[in-house]
Amino acid sequence: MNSESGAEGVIRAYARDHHIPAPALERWLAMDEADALAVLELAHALGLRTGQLLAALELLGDIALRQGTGVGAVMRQPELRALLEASGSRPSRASAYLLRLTELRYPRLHQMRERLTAALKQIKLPRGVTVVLPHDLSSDELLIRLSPRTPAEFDRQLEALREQANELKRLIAALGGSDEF
Amino acid sequence: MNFELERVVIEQEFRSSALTRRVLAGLPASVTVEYVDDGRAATRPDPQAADPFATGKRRLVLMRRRSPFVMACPAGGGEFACCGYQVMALASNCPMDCSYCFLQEYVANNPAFQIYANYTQAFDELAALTRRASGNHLRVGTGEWADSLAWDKLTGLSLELVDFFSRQQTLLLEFKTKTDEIENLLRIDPKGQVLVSWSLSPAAVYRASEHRSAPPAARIAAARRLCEAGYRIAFHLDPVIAYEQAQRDYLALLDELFATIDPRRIAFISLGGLRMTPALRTIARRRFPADPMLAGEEVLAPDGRYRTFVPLRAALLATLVQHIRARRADLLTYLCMESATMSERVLGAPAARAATLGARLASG
Repeated sequence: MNSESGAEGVIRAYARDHHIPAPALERWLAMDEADALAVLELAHALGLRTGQLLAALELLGDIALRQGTGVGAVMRQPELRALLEASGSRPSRASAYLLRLTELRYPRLHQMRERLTAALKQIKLPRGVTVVLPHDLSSDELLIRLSPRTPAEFDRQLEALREQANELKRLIAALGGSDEF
Repeated sequence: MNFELERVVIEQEFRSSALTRRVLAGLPASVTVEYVDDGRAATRPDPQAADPFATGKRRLVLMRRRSPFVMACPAGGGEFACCGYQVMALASNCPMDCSYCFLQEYVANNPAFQIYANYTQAFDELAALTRRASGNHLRVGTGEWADSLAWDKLTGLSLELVDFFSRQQTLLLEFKTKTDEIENLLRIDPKGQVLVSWSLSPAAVYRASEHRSAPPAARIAAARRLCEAGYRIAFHLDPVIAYEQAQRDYLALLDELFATIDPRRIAFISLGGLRMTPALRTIARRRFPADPMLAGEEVLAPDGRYRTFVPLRAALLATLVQHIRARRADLLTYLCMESATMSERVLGAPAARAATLGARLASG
């Protein structure tokens, strides 16, 4: 991009108004002009807040790098275009767009989390027993929390855990990389 | 290995040392040489440079090491399953430029190459270490803060090191490298006390990330030559990077390795997943924005490092270990900088105590 009065100027003005940090602006301006303008259009269309725009810039850049393409090509993918053009409020569309970008950026993590979440939903546990997958599957610890209010409830929760022990063990094994689901 | 040196700084006290003479004899005429009383200032980054780390790699300082040479590996301790490795710091920084290298953060404040000209003090420290170890076998490596062989054509230090270790009963020297610079080693007999190990990556990682290193096939070929010359050899699949085709490529790499070198001749294979502190990740991605290996599915792990999310990392490491064991069931494998739980999961048995594993790795 080489025109201070053209596309570059428009983006710099936007960045100034929205307090975009210099490194992020540098990455933005390093894109092809058409790609950089497409990001600007995205920011306007979804009313992205500064933090959301920074996340979008990073996610789009990473997806493009991983897919060996440009940011514009990523944004032209039908599912992303559909999210951009969907009905609904701008904040809800912005959230949905960023969520999908995150899933595209971490495709295998997304698939694995979907599988584990579905498996977890199949495990019948009583009220007061909570099973939580590790954030971003960044650890192999499955958090199981019991919140009994009476001794009898505690017994029921323990019994329920015992009944589901095999399913929970499969979940723990899957967290550790075994092909359980 | 081709250097891009522009300047060599030598502390006055080493002006007439044999090491200095060898280094000066090997330098191109274009390199400027200067002598100073204290070389530490010359190791500092150039604040005006766009890439101070890369600029530091054009400067070599021959200097005194002012702290101990030999110490326990900093990756050891309670956090990870530990292999009992002892490190010997004879140099700092590396003429290669791997995009994922931790030195980008670790020596950011002193990125110039340092070669410690008072290295013979390390031999005294090793003698003391041997006495303290009371007969236990120890493995001592020079490849923690520098590639062990990248400078060897210039310094010739490997000759003195092999000579020293060849006279030891309980100390094993490990040269760890990504080069094929083995000419000096081929000139001497290690008498079973020297192991040379290579970090190995698939060609895709080599091309994207391991700048100025020897191609994987050249590393394997060098390993074969040294194996035939009486050296013990080992390999480090580290970092294992879980890109989309990683499993296929790492398995093919192992097949290539075992087709070239009889697995019975390999002392051990270590494995470790890619890990980067947030600061290192920021530096690496700024220096290598087009490297797709730095844009993998790493997430912030409980140890504060970015790592591939656990199920993918564990599955990939386990698959590689199974493949190794299919070729030789008792080939010693261990994980580097992974938790004891991950070790048990991937290797199928609780992690050995550091001293036990260290002794096995040192004694073969």
